[in-house]
Amino acid sequence: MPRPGFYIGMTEEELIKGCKENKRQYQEALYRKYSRKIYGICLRYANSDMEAEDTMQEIFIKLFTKINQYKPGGSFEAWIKRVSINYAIEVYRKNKRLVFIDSYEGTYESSYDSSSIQKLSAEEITRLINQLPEGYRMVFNLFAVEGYTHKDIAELMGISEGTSKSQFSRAKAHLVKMLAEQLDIRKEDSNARA
Amino acid sequence: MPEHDMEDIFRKKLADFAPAHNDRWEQIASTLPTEKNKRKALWIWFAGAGACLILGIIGINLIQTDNLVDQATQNPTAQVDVMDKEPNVSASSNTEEALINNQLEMTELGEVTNAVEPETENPTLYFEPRNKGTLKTGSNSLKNEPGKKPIEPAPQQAENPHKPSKEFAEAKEVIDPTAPLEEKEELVVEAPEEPENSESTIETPTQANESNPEPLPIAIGTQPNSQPQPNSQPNSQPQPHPHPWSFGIGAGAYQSLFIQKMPKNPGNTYIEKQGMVARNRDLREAMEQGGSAFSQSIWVDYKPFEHWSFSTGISMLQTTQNLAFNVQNVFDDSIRGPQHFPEGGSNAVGGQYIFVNDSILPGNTATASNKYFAREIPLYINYHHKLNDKISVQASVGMSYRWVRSASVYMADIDNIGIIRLDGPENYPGIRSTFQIQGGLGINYHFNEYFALQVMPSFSYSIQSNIRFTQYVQQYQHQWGLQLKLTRNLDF
Repeated sequence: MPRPGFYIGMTEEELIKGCKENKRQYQEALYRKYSRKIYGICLRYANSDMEAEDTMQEIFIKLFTKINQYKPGGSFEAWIKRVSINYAIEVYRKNKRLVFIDSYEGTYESSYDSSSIQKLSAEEITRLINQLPEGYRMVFNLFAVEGYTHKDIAELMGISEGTSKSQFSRAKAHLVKMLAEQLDIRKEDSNARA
Repeated sequence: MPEHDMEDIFRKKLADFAPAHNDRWEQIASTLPTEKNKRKALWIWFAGAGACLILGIIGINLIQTDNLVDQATQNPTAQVDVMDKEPNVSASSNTEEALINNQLEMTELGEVTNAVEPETENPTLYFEPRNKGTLKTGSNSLKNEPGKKPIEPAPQQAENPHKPSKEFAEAKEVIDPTAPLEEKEELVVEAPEEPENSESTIETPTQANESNPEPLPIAIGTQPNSQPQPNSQPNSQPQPHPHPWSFGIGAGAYQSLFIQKMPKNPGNTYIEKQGMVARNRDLREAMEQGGSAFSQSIWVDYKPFEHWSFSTGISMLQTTQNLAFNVQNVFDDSIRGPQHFPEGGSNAVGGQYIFVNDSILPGNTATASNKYFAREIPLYINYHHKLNDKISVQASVGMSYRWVRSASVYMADIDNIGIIRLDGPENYPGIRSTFQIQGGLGINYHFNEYFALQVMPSFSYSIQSNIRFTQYVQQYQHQWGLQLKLTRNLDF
């Protein structure tokens, strides 16, 4: 079994070639190299850690079976991310768990301190995103984190572009509210310590 | 704060977000299709080719043996060329077996001994037992004395020299190989008929009887009235043929030379690629210092012919390079990044090199130990020349297939702080298997008919790089040294 870091020194072309030849050690090397990043993606779309791991597992199986479709020239990591996100969307569409909330009561002023957000770690941000309702979370992830356009999101999710935009604005408002609450909690904690 | 600020912050923070998770590789691997093992396929082809070669050699040997048997059965008559030469026939017999097989040998002077080559042409003499069922051994030499009529060829043999005579066939039927032979009895050589214009100069007994009342015997023994003397004529005894198969164990010590090939531009400058060659060029030049190698091997030898034999087996080879080099400015912070020493991808303890970069300072001397553990299948063709009963010389040429089972690199600076260690072929994917041309000139000392010790200075020239071509730098491992081999003949 290859040790962690087996892929160090390997070119990406070698890694891909080995995976296309179905060589187990290269597949494992690919898994070791990208599993954490893919898991990070899955965490943003899943409801729990266990679900994220299951999704990651399915994504890797899909990657190894579809790797011949990858055409050299483009970024392999970007291709992996795209496959992962598409699969995450596919899973959610299959489960029909998407509930788009047309109205969000209690819109929140988007007034926050950006320096406070900078202090948040990636784990904390992911945890915040995971607290969003599923419909909001999907659109927010795709637009704010993955960089998709509302048009792309509409096509991917089978919704209108307007719905995507409204979902995003509401998701953001919801997030800001949660962010403010979290920052308040932090302030209270620091005051209590003082 | 602009709205997109939050998105940018999120995007940047989450771009490299890679949290830890439970290992799911085993579950993933269990659902994937089986691995295509090209190395295994290559090994199967190599083994198949070796097996075919061995079977071919055995087959050729069997065919040759069959041909000899066929010739012996189709042309069993004792044949003596007496047409052109002054015959001087002296048939001798020390053993019953020699008589039964009618193995008479004609020397250039026409002398007949008890070992006759069946393929001898121009048959002009055949034997017929006077007393059926009993061969008579003679004690006198059959000489073509002046005045005696020559032996004439059998009629049918004159027509077809390869056809056994009728008389011989009859005689052969009545000969009882198990019947004891009588001493001093005569084996009469006679021709039933005398063709015209025969120039044979050996008299048949019948013809001789006409001029000489005494029957003309063929001397089967070497001395009149003597007891059989098996050792009196060594060449007349069939030599014991040694068993063609033998096995052995061996060991060797070699000096290895690692030739580095780095492509250059037309202006004799190195072609840079990925910064790898620039960083490792000095190391690569240092690696041409060479190293030492040791081997242990098991051998199987097949010697179908007197002078020629074939050898194969399996050998375990360990090669070690101890390198010393001065640290140059080429060591920069990229030493922490993907490593290419040696090229081919590598792994380190815990997934990261624990090479303390700060200790690698220009002007310091660093050392590295590079080890390869390989298995090797050689295939030699050997030519033997026997100097005497104890000593023979041997020239060998052949090829071998070598595959690296594992490799390790230990690299340390002067304070022995930095370590790079790689173990196992899976962690060293840049290493590849190679073919070598090999040869040597050795001396064999035969302790007895079973055991022999071989001392052979040998060389091995690699025709392939043991670093994959995708790794840009090529490395050819050649070696020369001394190998010892103790063999045991399988004639138990």
